[in-house]
Amino acid sequence: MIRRLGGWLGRVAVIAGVTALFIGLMPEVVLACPVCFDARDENRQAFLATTAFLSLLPLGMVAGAGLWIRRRTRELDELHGDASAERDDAEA
Amino acid sequence: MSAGSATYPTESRPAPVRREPVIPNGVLGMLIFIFTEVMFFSGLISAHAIVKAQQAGVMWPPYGQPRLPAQETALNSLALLVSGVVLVLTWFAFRREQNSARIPLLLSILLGCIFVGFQGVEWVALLAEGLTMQSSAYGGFFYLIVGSHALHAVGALAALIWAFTRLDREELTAHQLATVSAFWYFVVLVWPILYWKVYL
Repeated sequence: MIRRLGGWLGRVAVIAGVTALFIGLMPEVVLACPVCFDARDENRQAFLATTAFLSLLPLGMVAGAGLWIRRRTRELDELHGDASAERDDAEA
Repeated sequence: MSAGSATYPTESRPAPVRREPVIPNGVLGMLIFIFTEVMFFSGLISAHAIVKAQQAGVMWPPYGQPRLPAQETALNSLALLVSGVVLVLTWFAFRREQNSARIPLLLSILLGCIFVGFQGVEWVALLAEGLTMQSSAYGGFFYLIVGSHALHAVGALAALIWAFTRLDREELTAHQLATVSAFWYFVVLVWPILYWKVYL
């Protein structure tokens, strides 16, 4: 029981240590971006809006294409299902 | 029957039915191309939006730079939009009877040519007034965004003309028409967004 508890605490300590290392290595702010920390509201809003737009647009396009392909596949399944049923009836 | 000889069923079976593809190869390729182009134009529009926002409180368009002819271009945009609608009618006409698609396809191409031609006239006038790629960020973005669209419009028009020549020889397939139409629809649908962001 004590040995199991010790192993669990050891794992937690390793995870906490690695996390602390990552946090310590992270820079406080990224000063390379000329617009992220601009004092003007218009500039910050434009930056945030375009970031959201460029992040969501590809996801939306892929999701839209996926839904369309799914719907089209179902339509074709129904069409071919009906056609094969008619063929089976004709053969019978 | 000797041992080891294979036996095969001899009764006739129905011939396998070839399923219609979910998306024709050409249309799929065009869709992937359009996705990349949407991201390309989105990047340009985003860069334009940020540079414009940086000029908040400052005159935009910059002082001394000519204003873009928004009203004339709105009329020209109408020609492009009508061209897209006529291409939809072309599709329905083609599904009904191939020969009946000739006139609407030709009309769509002509309207597209009018749009590109007018854009060229507009460019010549703006260059004469001093708006160039180097004159300001305003001019640079204008020529980059509108010029990229014009290149796409010319490419899509070439594809439509190719489709028309095939239609004239009665060699055009529905998949080919769908592929080139997808390209033209992209050119038509992206333009109002560019007009709104660049001209207004």
